[in-house]
Amino acid sequence: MEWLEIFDISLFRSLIRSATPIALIGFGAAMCSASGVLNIGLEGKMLNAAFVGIAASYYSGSALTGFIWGVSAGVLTAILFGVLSFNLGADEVLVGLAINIFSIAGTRYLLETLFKRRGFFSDPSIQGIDPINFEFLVDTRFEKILSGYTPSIYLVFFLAIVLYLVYYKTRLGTAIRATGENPEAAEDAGINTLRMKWLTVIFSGVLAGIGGTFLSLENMTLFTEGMSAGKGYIGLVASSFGNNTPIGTFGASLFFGLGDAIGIRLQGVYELDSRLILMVPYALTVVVLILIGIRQRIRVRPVPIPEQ
Amino acid sequence: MTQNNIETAVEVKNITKSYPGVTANDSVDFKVLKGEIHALVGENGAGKSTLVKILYGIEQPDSGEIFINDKPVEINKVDKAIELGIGMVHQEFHLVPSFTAAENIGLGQEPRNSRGFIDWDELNSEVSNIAKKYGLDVDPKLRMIDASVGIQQRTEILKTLYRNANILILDEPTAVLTPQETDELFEVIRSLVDEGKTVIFITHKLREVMEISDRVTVMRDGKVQGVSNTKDTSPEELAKLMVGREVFMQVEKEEAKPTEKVLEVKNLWVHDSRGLLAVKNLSLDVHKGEIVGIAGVDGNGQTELVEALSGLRPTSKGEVIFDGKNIESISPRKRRRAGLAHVPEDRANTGLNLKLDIWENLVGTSYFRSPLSKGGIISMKNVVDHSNNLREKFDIRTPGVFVRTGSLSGGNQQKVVIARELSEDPLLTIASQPTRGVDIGNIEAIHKQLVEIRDSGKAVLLVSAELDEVMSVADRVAVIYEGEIVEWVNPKDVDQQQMGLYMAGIKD
Repeated sequence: MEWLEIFDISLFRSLIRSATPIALIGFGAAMCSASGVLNIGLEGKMLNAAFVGIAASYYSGSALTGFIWGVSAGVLTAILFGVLSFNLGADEVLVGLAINIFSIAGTRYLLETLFKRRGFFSDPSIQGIDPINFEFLVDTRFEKILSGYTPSIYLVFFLAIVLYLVYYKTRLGTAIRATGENPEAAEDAGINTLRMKWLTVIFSGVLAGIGGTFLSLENMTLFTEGMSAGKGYIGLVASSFGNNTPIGTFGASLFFGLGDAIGIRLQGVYELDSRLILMVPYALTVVVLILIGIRQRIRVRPVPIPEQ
Repeated sequence: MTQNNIETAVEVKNITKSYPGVTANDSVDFKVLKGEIHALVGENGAGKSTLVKILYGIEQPDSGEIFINDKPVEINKVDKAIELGIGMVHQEFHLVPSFTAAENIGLGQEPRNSRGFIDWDELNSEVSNIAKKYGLDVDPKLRMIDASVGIQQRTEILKTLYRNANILILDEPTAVLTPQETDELFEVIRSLVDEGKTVIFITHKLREVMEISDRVTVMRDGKVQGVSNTKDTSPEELAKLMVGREVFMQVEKEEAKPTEKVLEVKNLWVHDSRGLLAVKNLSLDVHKGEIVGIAGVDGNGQTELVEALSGLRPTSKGEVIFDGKNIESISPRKRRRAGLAHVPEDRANTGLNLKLDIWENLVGTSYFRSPLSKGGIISMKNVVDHSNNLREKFDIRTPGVFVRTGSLSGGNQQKVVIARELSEDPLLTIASQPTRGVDIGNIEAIHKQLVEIRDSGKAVLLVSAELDEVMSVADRVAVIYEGEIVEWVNPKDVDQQQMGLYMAGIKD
């Protein structure tokens, strides 16, 4: 079975790389959903961060500066989302959509006016974020599995654990969950529900910012128009598939990453049309949405009527 | 057991609170002694809720003073009220469904270990201890989704006690309970008072005022009408203070003269939205010239039964025969055409569109028919005439029919629903919780209307969680429990105690 040969360490590494931006978005989306905010604007936050990150790196020649500016762009977009939906009372879904559309147009405009480029921007003076190599793992059997990833990838694993603890074992976690499930109960308990929502939205902005810079400064060192390519939406689906819990979302993100990685590898094995492979994440998203639908239907499966 | 102790737990002086167009509290003075059970009674819109919202820091008064334990205080937010030892159990429970009892009780104040994580074991045992102390039987690890209404309520009470409340405000706590559960609640309230707590008990059920309270304050139209020791007053006197005139507590009607069968339900099964069986093998019939009542605690399948009969929810098995024809699979509109009217329990969402004008709601079920519409176009003249006729006939108090329905009082909104439903002279009127949130004066009028329908030879199916209402209006009563009819009773031959047992599903 030659196709089984694709399950090797490089598939694992590719899986982790594909899963990272989805998990970053997914964690943010899960926290927002837990506090009762449907944040579909993450796609735009990520794209803005990707662009601002690369622009800052280009001008400063520093990867760290690029990263900081990129994350700030994610946070600022999150603040815009919060102001429009919480302070001005606009519909969350419409605000999210507006941000996504605006980000596509805004980044394209800046790409053309600042860099006089169309489609994509790459330059030798852009400093990317380097992978981390652990000295103590050199020449051990774990080196190929555990070492040499970029920082965001390690961050994702760290976050899965931290968020799990926050979610189930801290006052903050119960406060966030109570806010989403019954805001009146939360208010009654002296929890400031608006503050909780702001907190999760800003947090999701930070993560979308990291996700964006991951795309443009870590995974690759370039910006292409619309390079978030739906990952913001896929992250949202991952959080929903994972019941908005940290571990569930992490698992769902790995699943998407696996699909992506297998697609890329199969291309090599069978010489499939690359356009077909590019479709894999989106096809997988549709499949997952169908699974979510089925799961919901199973939950309300009518109990049978007893025979008389 | 009125205490002669002069220390006061709560004193409110000269509180005034206005909303646009209405003075909810008008120079209100209200005083609760330490360690007493104080009943606060009044109709909907009398200002009770506003008063307790001010005490609990949800609303701020325009003017006036508040004293807690004889000290002047300003309660500008809920946290402040909690800090002052005030706890409130809302009518609609504020519980997180997927959380356990302990998680709900401890929310926001969970005990933490040295690493900053919540100590769930500690919380569970703290909750057990408080529950034991006050005789509140609650399992700390029970999820609220799986808890009965009675347990949810006890969880709410425990929530206030966990926060060291000394003054408990209970907002209409018995509305969702069976008579037995009410007795249990009263036990709990008494043990709270024995432990030195003070209880403010809001209700409109005068029987409960007489049974549980030490003193009573009556409100009407935002003003306090009177304060007295409960033992020195009577339900009649309280009712008069509440309404401002004599009230007939009993519905006057003659013996029913039922004729032919108009509705027959045979072995009906209905699923609820979660896929559970809400109505189980239920059979009943209703004849012309009678009012059949369905009594039972809320949430025992009444909602699903009525929705299935009116066509808003599919039936899963069984037959519904109306006026000789099977109707279980025809649309609500066709059922209406056949002569079935429905006054839904959820007036604000199902019964009316509160954002529309009164005339629009009045013709909502008939606008497409001649003479209201001609050739697919609404004839405004005929619609307005029709609406004005209904307004007059059903005594809807409004400046005009071009007024937003949502601006009417609960009682007048309900009159709009009833006017619309009766305007087509139905054979059968299904009235579900028809007086919920309606003031006493209008309750009387609605009851009279139901009796009039019956006397004109039509049928009524009255579904109500208010036991007194079913027992005084209906001619025959079925008691429903967990989707099944426990027993048929003649309201004249059965007492409260017996009904309570039936409502709890217990049959001799």
